[in-house]
Amino acid sequence: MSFRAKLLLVVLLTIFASVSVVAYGVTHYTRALFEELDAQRTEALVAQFNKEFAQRGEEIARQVENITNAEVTLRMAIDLERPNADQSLYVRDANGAAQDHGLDFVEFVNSDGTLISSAQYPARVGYKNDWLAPTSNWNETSAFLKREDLPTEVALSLSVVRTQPNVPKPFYIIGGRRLDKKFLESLVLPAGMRALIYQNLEPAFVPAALISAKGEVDQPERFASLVGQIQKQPHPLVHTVDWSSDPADAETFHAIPLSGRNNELLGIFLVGSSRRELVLLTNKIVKTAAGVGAGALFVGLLIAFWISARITKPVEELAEGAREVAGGRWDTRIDVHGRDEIGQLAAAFNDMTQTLAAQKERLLQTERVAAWRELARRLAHELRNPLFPMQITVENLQKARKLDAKQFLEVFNESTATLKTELANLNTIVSRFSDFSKMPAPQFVRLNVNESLRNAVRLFEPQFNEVGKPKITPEFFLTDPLTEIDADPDLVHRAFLNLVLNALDAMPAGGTLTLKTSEHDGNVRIEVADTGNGLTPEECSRLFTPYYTTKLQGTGLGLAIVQSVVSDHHGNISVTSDEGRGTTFRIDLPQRQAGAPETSREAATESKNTPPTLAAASD
Amino acid sequence: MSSEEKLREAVSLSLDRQTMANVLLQKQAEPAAALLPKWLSGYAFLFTMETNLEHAKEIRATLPASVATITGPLRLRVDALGDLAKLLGERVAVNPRQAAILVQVVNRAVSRGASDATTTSSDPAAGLHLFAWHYSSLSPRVALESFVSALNLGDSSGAVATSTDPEQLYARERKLLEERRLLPLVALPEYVGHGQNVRDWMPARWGEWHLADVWLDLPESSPAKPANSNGTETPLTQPPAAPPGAKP
Repeated sequence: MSFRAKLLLVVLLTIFASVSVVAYGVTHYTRALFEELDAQRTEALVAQFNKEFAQRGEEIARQVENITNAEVTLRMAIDLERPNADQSLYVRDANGAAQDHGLDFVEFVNSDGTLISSAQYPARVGYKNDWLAPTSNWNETSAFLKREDLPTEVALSLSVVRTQPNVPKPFYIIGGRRLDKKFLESLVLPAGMRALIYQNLEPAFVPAALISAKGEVDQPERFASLVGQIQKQPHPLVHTVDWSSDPADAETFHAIPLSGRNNELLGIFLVGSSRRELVLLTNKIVKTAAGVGAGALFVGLLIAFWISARITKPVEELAEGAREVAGGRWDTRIDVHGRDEIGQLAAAFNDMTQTLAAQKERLLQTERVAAWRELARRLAHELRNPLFPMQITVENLQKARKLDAKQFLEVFNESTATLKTELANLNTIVSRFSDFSKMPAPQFVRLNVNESLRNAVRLFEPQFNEVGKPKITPEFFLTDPLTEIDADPDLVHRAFLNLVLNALDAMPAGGTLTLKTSEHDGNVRIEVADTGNGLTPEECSRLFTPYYTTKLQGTGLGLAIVQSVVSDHHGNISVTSDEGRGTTFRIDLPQRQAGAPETSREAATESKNTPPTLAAASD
Repeated sequence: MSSEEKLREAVSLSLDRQTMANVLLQKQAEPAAALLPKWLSGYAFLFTMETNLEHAKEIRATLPASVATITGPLRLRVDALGDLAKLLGERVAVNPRQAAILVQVVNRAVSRGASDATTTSSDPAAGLHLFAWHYSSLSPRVALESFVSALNLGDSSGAVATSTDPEQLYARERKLLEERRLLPLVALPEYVGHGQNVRDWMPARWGEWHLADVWLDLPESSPAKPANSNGTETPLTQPPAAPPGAKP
């Protein structure tokens, strides 16, 4: 991934993250506000419930006090004070009192706790109500929740107990009303809210005990766990019920336990608040945030593209400059933009290339002088070899002038023959230098390297088994089939000849000539190894320098020609050598050359059949 | 003694007939321990009230915990003729509850003519059945016989069924009651009232109406005066723990 792409991605991610954080923050803040609002509404409803509860209790208390203070009640209380009073006379009085005062439950209880009359459960008369006696100040108590056992059911009531003040012994009047859907109907609820009451009158969860202002509640079993939790720990709880897979249908319930006089859990008041508004609001915010985010991302994409282009342009120029330097353009210079770190880097790059170019120029001059000196030394050495015999021959001719004609003729013939030979040597030396200077440009055709290598080795077969000389054994490890490459058959053949000849010269005591071909990363690799004495590292480093040779007889041009051919084919040549074990030359030639024509194999073969110039391979 | 017999005994011991008669029925009835009232049989005093709540609790404690609990209460079918029967039914349910025997009242509306102890196969299954029995004869033998035949108690064969000897009647009645399948509760007189403009109202001594002889004095319209006591006593009896669908 490019630096620009990375920078673009980072900027985009940053914008996306920023938008996401803002959207999340807004959503969270809005939801928190709504939750707070919902809590306030619930608190208000609970306060209203408590107020209604208190008002209903006060109203019941007034009615019970009216019954208490009624003359008929007073007469009953006085009558029942008598020993052996006939309690049966009052069995139905509670029912009448309940009807007269609009109460659901009315009971008259004697001073000993005996039930005299019951509107809601007449059959229970005569039984004791032991819970009344311990409290002496019933007239000062307010309404409380009470469990009412009825003939066929159990009910929850809001009840008040009063005593007749005009009789010596307490005479209890208990009155109450059901805490049922009528009570819930009296609560004024905001939109989206509803109130439920669970009458906790049985140990287990009873679905029918959960009532609303409309009567029974749908899916009451969904509240079983909530009721169970409060039954274990009677504390207010908040519970969300998902009525369907749609989150908007969910409802949050605030459950408030309702306790009786002895703190026993008798009921649970449930305030339900629909989450529809919250979900819709949240969805709207999320959608808005998504829209804004998308817009911001688009704008951010444009800005990020512009910014990344601005930032990466100098870096790309630097990279391009570095590539040019690597490609050999040591004098490359790049534009310097600004004075920031990138600008300073560009200026340093320019200084570096300027220094490198100067050093290279100096190095080239030094090498050029050295090369000329080496050439002069070699040339002088090569020329001196034939010149010295020629000088001796000429001096002999001068001396032979004093000899007789027969002897002079004999010396003259020998001298002219020697002069011809040495002149031929001079001509050969000049031709070699001339050939090296005239290395032609390669003509690329498709070439089978294995065949070219075999042809080159075949030319030296007479020398492998030459009588009187140590034997040299050629060994081939050629990959077959081998991909054909774009190459000049003549130049490659000349290079192979020089390598083989060099290897033969390295094995004066005989040995093994190993030739390998293989494919590596789109290149064809040729290895030529000998088992000679090997080379020192210094010799290896100077091996391809023109006119450098380790032999007594050699121009130092053979391996220079090989390197020139490999270089012209855009390949690489390297040498590895172990002293005493031999030397290996490794050539990598690309399979395809840029701009090389698709020449047929026949053309290549025809070209290869051209007789190689053995002289060019001599070293 | 089987669990069912123990349960019947516990229910019988828990019933407070005195309160039923004296408080709920406001002393208009008498607690009944026998099927035939004293004035009819003469030996009713030999049957004793056996109310003993503590003993009922002890018996209940020996019964399996699952018997007559909230998961499977005894069902008391009340052939309601009005609030009175309903009130008595509720009281019958309340009393055993003190001995931890749960009884659930099931009201069943019936016509007056059907308000007897007979049941049909379509009656809902009930462990208890509260009903009123109307005496229709001055003969204790006939009254008892009609009771036995109506309830299909199945001991009306032989000389015992035709005997008018009080001792044999007593023995027969005791035998009927000793298994506590029939639990007499109260003996309640039946009252009939009529207005002052009703003439020649002369019902039979044991309750039959002769409406063919009755006529109304239309020109004179005055408020109805209290009724005269003129009727038969009706004991409210309860056959406990009958198997579902079985006739008591």
